[in-house]
Amino acid sequence: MNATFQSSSHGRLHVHTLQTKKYKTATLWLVLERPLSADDVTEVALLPRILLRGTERYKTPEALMQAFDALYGAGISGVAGKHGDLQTVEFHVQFADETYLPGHPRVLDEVVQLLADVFLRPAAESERFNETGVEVEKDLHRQRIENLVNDKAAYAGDRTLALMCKEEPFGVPRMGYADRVGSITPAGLYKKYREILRDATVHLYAVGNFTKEHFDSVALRAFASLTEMRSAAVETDVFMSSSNPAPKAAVTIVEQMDVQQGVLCVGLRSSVFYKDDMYPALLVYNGILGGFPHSKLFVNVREKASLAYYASSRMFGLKGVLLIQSGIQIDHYEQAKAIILEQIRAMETEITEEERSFTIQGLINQYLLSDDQPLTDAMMDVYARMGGKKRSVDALIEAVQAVTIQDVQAVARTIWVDTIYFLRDEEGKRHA
Amino acid sequence: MHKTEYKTLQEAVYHQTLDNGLTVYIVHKPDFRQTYASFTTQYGSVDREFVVASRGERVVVPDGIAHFLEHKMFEEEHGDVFQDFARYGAQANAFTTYDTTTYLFSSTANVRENLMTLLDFVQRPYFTDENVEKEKGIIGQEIAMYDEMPNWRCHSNFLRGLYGDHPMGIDIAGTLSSIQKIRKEDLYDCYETFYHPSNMVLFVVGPEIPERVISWVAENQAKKNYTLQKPVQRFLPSVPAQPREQRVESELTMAQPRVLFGFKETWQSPDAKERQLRETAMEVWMESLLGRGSPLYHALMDEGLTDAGFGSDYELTPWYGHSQMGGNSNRPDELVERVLSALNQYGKEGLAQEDFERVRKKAMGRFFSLLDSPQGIAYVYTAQKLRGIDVFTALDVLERMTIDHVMNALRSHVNEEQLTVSLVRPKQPRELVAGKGGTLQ
Repeated sequence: MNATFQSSSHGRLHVHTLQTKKYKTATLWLVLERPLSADDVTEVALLPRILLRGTERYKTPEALMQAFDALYGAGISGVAGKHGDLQTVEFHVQFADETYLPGHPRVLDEVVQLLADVFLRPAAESERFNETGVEVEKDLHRQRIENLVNDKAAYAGDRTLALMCKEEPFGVPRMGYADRVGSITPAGLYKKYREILRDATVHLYAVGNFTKEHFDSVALRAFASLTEMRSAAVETDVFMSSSNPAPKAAVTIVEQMDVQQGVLCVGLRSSVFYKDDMYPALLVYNGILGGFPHSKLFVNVREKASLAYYASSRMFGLKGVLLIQSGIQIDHYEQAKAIILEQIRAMETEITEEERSFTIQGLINQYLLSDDQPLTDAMMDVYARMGGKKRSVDALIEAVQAVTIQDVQAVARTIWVDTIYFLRDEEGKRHA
Repeated sequence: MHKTEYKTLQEAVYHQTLDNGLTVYIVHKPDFRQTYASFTTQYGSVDREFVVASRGERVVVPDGIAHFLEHKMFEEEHGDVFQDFARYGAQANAFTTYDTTTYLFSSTANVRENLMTLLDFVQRPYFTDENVEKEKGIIGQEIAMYDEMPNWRCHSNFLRGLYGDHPMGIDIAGTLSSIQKIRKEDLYDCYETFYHPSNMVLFVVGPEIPERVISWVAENQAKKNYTLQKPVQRFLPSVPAQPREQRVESELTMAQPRVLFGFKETWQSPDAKERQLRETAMEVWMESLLGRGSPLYHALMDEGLTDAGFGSDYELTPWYGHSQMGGNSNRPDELVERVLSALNQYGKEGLAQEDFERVRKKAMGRFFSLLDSPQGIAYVYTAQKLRGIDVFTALDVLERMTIDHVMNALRSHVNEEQLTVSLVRPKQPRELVAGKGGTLQ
């Protein structure tokens, strides 16, 4: 494996540096972790967009973007993420390694300064963000939420998880609620921003061809106010809840829309979480069920029955939830559902050695492939805090390799179907 | 084996053409874990009329057949090819474009076995009446899925507007009815004509020593007794000089209208270097006028005309070319008007030196992210190479670029007679599909 991150803590800023010559670009990732809540999700999701509208130095969005462009096209993006029951505010920056640029200009120092400006020194006056900017971004955000319906498969998946977990933070949509956008004000949003900054622990990951000493000195200068900020509250990492509601009979929900293709989703729950010893077996379970083209769902729904183009499952490891999805002809609903439920049952008794070994090799390949992504170890670090257990890619590979068919079957016995969701056409609706 | 070095990039491309005509390119990335290999035939959805290599007969095949063939290659007499890749821990896939079909894998172990699997399955067709029928259900659902995606529909209508009933105006996957006509005999005709090694390119990027990779491939190919085949004779209708329709509209279940517009290219050159220069010049003005650092991009958003997804792109091949701009918009016609008038004004006023330098620097810096992506290198290098362009020279082209190149490209391209607008509108009242709000009881 690559060298791992070298970390140091300064106040509430934690800097993690990975020096490498592997890439021709450098990557920065700033992550702030907090609980996910329906109460402020809409505001927090809007926040990164507002922060990218200008800083004290570059007061307009185009001036700020031009400053990034001038640094050989350094690209910045900001989002609010959802990981299990937790929320993140993230900024991601990628820029060319100075070594390869004509004349070897200094790019790193200024990029770090700009990122810190975006995060700590946004354009604001009298404790409020610019009113016009907030109104523009509010409209865009409302529209962005409404546009989620455009991708039918993603929409159906989101609806399934929202209905299934309506009593849990995980059921809160990542971008928030369209009807809550209207009440956001420039002053209220600024207050929320200060509140987040006051309480937050910030992790800054950096991958590239520079030393830890150099990066630390640049980062500590740019983020100085954060290293000095100490909250009265004792700093605690936010952990995941690690229980699911008790099993109950599966609920079936049908929603209608003017569509041609139906989307069938099945939401499953398990009692296995990221920190548990059985977690590697859950990974193998998901892989055998629907993570690969050799998996039960792909083989039986697509290859044998020709009912769908896609039929797969994915898991949300921090939450112990799995989601199966397949796009089907509407009148094939009963047939497809029966095949999918049959595959879930078969996970308890009918797993072949070939399915086990193909899946384990497939998972290992995915982990090793992820080693070619600069931020994989950073992601594992975030998950360690969120999931309550430190897992490295190497350790996961070893653990996955040791998973037996019996282990997978043991996991299968802890899994139950929570929700069956079908997005279908409006047949019958207009006459009802 | 021939080696081309790119000093500034600190990259090298190894290249060899084997006896049977197969072209192999290798990029050595010793620090990377994965090997990514792609096997591409110069055969895509536009190739519907050609002379069948084996019997010299000129045929017309149903639309969507190249993509259908891509699906069917994964089935072998002994079973599913995905299982063969799974056995050696590789991740495999394939895709079809207008003029290519590509099979690929990425793996971190057993590279030789996986490379052999890739070469062998693509060079061993197995079609039966039964397996061809079975695939129609799967591809039917694939078409149904894409058909309801606003981005896809808008783009596909845009190309239909530009190219009409020329194959460029027809979806890569064909239609529900065209795929019903496909028979196994058609698949064999296409296969034998277009899958000869001399019509194909293998690209491998990863940590394996290039000499070793080449010897594995050469050994595999030598066993297969390919006889030399004459270049494929294809009959591609000439691209209409002007857009067939200047406006195409349709409706879908969605929240907000989406619009895509652009100009059909009239400029053309047989010289690949000239085309590369033109393509780069076009990208520079699009970035400076419409990119995230441009005042117009932010004005469009501030005025509620579009959102952050608004973008622009330009594509030029030896036989077609067009620009495209657009995104989501509640006032699509106003958005188009606004951008067109900015284009005209910009054509008159010209590009400021400062903006030019900023955008050029940006393009240079962005190029390096491509080099960090094995998949990206394989895809872009192959696609460009088949059009005669070496993408690793992109920085040199940017260095040579002048404001005059950029303004000439803009002025000769923007012409309202060449404009097509594709608009997709929501099918139903917005409240039916709007976000459900905070109450999920």
